[in-house]
This record gives sequence, C-alpha cells and structure tokens, in this order.
Amino acid sequence: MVKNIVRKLIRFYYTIPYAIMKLVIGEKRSLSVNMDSVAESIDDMGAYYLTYNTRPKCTDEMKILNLVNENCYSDVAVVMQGPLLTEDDFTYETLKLYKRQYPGILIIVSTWKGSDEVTVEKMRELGVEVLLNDLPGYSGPANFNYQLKGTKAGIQCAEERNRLFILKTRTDQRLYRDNVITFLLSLTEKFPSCVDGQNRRLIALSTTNGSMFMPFFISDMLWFGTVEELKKMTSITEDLRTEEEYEALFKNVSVLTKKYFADNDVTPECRFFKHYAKVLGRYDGCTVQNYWKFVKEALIVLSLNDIGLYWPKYRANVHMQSERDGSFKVWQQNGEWFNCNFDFASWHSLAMGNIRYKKEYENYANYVIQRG
Amino acid sequence: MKHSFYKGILNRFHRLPYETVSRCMNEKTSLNTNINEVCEAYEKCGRYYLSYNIKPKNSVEIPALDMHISKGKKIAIILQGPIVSKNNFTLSTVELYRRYYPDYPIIVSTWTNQDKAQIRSLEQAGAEIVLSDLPEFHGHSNINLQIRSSLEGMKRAKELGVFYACKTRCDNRIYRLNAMEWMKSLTESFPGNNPNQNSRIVLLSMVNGGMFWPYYMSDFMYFGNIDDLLLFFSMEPDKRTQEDKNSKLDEVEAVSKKYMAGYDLSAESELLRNYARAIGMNDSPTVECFWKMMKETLIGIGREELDLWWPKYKEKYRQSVQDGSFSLFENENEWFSYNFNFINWLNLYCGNIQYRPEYEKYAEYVVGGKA
Repeated sequence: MVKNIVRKLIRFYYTIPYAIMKLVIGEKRSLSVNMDSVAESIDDMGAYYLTYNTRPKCTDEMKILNLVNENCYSDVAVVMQGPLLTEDDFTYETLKLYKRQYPGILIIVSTWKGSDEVTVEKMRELGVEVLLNDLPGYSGPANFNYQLKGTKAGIQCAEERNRLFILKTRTDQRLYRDNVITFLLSLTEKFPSCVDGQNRRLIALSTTNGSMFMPFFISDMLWFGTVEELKKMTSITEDLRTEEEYEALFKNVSVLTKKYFADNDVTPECRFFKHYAKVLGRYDGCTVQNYWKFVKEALIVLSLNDIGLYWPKYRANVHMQSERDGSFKVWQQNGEWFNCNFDFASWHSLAMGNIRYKKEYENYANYVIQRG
Repeated sequence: MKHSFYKGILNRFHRLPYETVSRCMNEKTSLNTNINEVCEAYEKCGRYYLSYNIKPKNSVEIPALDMHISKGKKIAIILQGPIVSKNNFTLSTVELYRRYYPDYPIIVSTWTNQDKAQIRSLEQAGAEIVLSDLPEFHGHSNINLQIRSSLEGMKRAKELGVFYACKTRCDNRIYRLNAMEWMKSLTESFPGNNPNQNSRIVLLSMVNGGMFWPYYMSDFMYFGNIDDLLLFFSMEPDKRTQEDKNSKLDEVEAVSKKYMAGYDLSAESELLRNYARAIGMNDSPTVECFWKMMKETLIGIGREELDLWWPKYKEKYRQSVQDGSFSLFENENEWFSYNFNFINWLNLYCGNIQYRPEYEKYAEYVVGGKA
C-alpha cells in the first residue's frame, strides 16, 4: 500500500518536467532531454551506467526500405497466436508494420472467438487471415493448452496455403528489426541440421536467468522452422494436470532447482522442448549435457536483442531491458549465472566447438530457484 | 550557457528522488524503482515505449564464467588509446576480460605520457603494456594515433604467437559473454575467398544508414587473423591536418555520405578504403564497391550484439540510437536503421539483399556542410 503510494508520487514527480517541456518543445525533444538527464544523473551519482531504448507505439513512424525481393517470402507464413492486445492497438500496429516490412507475406492471426470485432475487421482489411478458434475446455498450467491449440490451428492454415516455413510468434509481441525473416531463413540454410529426420534446424529464442544450466528451458514465444518441424513440436498432448496437481509440484519439495523445474515440466518451455527432443530421438535425460547436445545439433537460438523483439507484458519488469535480454540485473545470486544464456553468440560458439560442455555445469542446474 | 544552466537544474530535479530512495533503502532498489517509474510515466502519456539497460561500472559485479576451450587458437585482446581513469574504466575493463578469458593475452597499447600508477595497476590486473611515443602529427580525427597504437599492439600480439586479435579501445567495454569465441566462430563459419586475406575481418556497423555510406564501418573494434590486422594497420600516416579536413568540408554547399567517403573525411572510411586497396579490392566510394567488399571480405555486426559500451558524447545514453534501431529524429532518406548489423550482413552474404543501382542515390544524403 505504502509502496504503491510512493511509486505513484515518484511517477507524478517525474511527469512534471516532462509534461511541461512536452508542451513547450514537443514530445520527442522532451522525451530525449528528460531521459538523457535521468541517465546522466544516475551515471554521475552511482555505480551503474544507464541507457534507454525508445520504440514507437504507432508503427507508421518506422521508416521502411524494402531491400529484399518479395519472392523471398513466398514460402513463409507468419503465425501470430494468442488473444489480441488492443491497448495501443498493439496487435494491429504490429500487423501494419509486418505488412510494410514484408509485402505480400501470408500472415495468420490465430486467436479466439469473442475477440474484439472492430480489431478483427481491421486486421482482415489489411489482408490478414484471422482464425477465430474455440477456447479449449481446460487452459492447463500456464495456459499451455491455449498456446498449443492456437499454434496448431495456425500451422494447419499455413500448410493448407502451401507454405513451407512458419514464423510462430505471439499477438502481444513485435519484431522491430527489419529483414528478420530472410535472416532466419538464411540461418537455417547456413547451419544445416545434424539430426536424422529433421529437415532443418528449428530457431527459437533464449530465456534468461542462466538458462544454459536449466535443461530444455528454451523460450516458446517464437519459433521459426519448416511446417514439418513445427508440427513435430506441437504434436504434444494437452497438459491435463489439475491446478492442485500443479501446485503440489511446488509444495512437495523443500527446494525447487533448475533441474527440478525441467524434470517436472514446471514450465511450458521445458515441456515443449523435451517433447521435441523426444520426437527427434534426441532425449536422453534431463541433464545439462544432453540439453547442450540437443541445442548444438537441432536448434539455433537467438536472444530478444538479436531480432529486436519487444514484449509489453508483466509490468513488474517490462521496462528492464537488460534483465529481459539476460545481460544484467542488479539483484543476482551467487551460482545463478544470470548472463549465461543461449543467445546467438553463445549458440554459435557452441555449434562451432569454441565453447564446450564441462561436467561441473551439472552443478549449476542445482541452483535453487525458489523454496518449496 | 543558458542550455547548461537549465540542464543543471533538470539534473538536480531528477537526482532528488533517486538520492532519497537510495538513502532510505539502497542504490539498487532506488535504481529500479526510479527508472521504472520514469518509463511508466513517460510511456503512459506519450507515443513511445521505453525500456532501460543497466551496466555496472565496476565489472566485479558481472558473473564471469569462463566457457572457452583452452587448447584452441589463442586470441589477443588489444586495447588501444589513452587510458580512461574515470570510474577506473580501462582497469575495470581489463579485469573483466581477464576473468572472461583467463589465458588470452590482454595488451594495452598506449602512450609514454600516461600515468605510471595507472599503468602499474593495469599490469597487476594482468595486462601487458606497450608504450609508444605520441606521433608528432596526429592527423585528422587523431587517425595517426589510432594507427600507431593499434599497430604496436598488433606487433606485440604477433610476437606472443596468437592466431587472432581483437583490436578494441581503452574507452570501450565489451560486456557480452563469449564475445571473442563468437567472433572467432564467425570467421570460421564464413571463410573469405580473397587471396590476400587469411580470414574475414569482423567489424562493427555504424548507424545513420551505414549501408549507404560507403566504407563507413566503425573503427572501434576489428577482429581477425593477426596477419590480416597487421596489414590493416600498416598504412602511411595521414599528412592532412584537421584544418585541411575542415577546408575540404567547406568547399561544398552540402556534404554527402559519398563525398565524405570519397575524400577520406572520416577515419573509419579512410581505414577501410586503405585496406580495400591492400587486398586488391576496388576502393571506389560507391555503394556497389562497398557492398562487394562487405560481402566478400568482412563480417558486419551491431554494437548491441557485443553489448559494447562507450561512455562518450551526449548521445551515449540513447541505446536505440547507438545500436541503430530507431531514432526519434530520423530525416527523410536517411534510412537510419539500415546498417550492416549481422542481420543485414547475413542477408547480403546469402543474396537476399542484392545491390541495385538506385541505392547510389542514398549515398547522396547530406550529412553536413553549409546547406
């Protein structure tokens, strides 16, 4: 309660010069002058350097130059799954951006019946394929079943439209960087799969908090790959664990380690990627060693920064870019290895044999994430 | 004068809640609380999303897990230029690299006039020091200083028997874990085909539509085979003064990207064009020749891909400007965000992005002059 009041007071305090200057010199200048001043003050006083990112809410402000030939996208579909984000017209603005960045590309929004009708209509006017699915009967832990159903419907639609590749992303995320789709295609061409039965590597995003030592904890937010590979990933069954069963995972043990999370499918991410490894015949237990072998041979992993991904969710840390991209956070624990995540630099180094698995890494999977 | 007065008042205004929360709680809590609320406040009543990045000044706060294989080909890290003592910047950077790469030589190539105590601290932190006399003639943009200190550092690296070298600066810090292994991986994954080159050189993109600014790639960092980098810096000192450069700029009404490149008016393009000649490439200041060189002999990456921090100039806090992703003040035909980061470089390398004659007109974009 007190905390909230203090926060509101601080927010109001900072708004004063910003709002006044906005009236006098305009929003852009006010924003940069005030943010520069805040960053400089912190730099002068404390133990940290601070930088800030600005991204336009309205994507018309992004200047787009089409350098890539349109026919490069003819085999690709973008599947955006999840509920529409109407605040700031987020989903619609994202679609507008993609339509300008990737003219002619097939975009499928796989969402739910009952979605905002005005937005649905606007999206269709843009030439976007909108799928309005029935919600599954049971959401499953962390809405696993929602994601599964929405993604599968999108994949099916892309396949019916004869697309060979799919970029699976979410309705509440936006890729600001241009030319990402051909970049992803090029990565799968340049780094062929080392796994029999996998026609191309699957590209996924890294998670943070030292996820190199949390077996199979690769993000489920964005995948790029062939239709076949995405079908393999989503060939998993629904998660039918009840709320009580899921909560028991937290109550029945005294400490929850990274390994425990992975072993027990506490997160949807581990559940998806363990399943995918199994389908490829590459699952041999939930160890760091097996995880790294799988990542090295079957995946390509990127970070949010590598492709300019923005995700306005979870107010608690939505602004903390360095925490979100896994580069640094101010509160770190010993043994957490917060910055050890599979971004493209680390993945590529692993793939080329320039960093290697060491036995001691198994100990880092015993890092305690939370107490039971 | 008026500007700095208002700035001082604004800074003082912004310090107050930060100092107060720091005193009542601690700096870390104050940092997160204040910046979150700033972002929240500006975002709520504006047209932009805001986020922030924090980097510790003291590198001890960064966990450094050494993952590289010790039996691989060695890399020397060369920091060139004057030592930065503010916040112990160069020293803390050396300490970070020492922990990231315990068995790689770290060479600080600097000047004989530098502070002896600082030099001793750097040595104690594990750096080897190469001292040179300042060249009599600095050249425009201090280019001769960069050439000499880089070259002397390279020579020492060669004596140490390394295969690769990374030329960076005393006022830069690469925070990215495994950055050296990654750049080594890049040169291995993308071998060049120029007979005068052992491997491609990895370098950083510039912003402001760097794809259409011939040879204008950053000179902050070069990674590559030691012999290639020795060749890169084996160039004659530039005999032009800053005044010569300024008068060349004054000759025309409008200074375009192409004009800057054609008359070697930036150190960045002068270094790269010189290297183009050294390896037998066409150094014409055109987008076409620049792209051909990028595609065949270099690898471009973005500053953010190395998490590189450079505490200089007023725009240093604007991350999206520094990494070329977005500028609030982009001009028509500037194409601010089209730069040779790894995305665009790989697209060029794979043929997804191909040169078109119409791109030459973007090199006519005016970056300065009387107009």
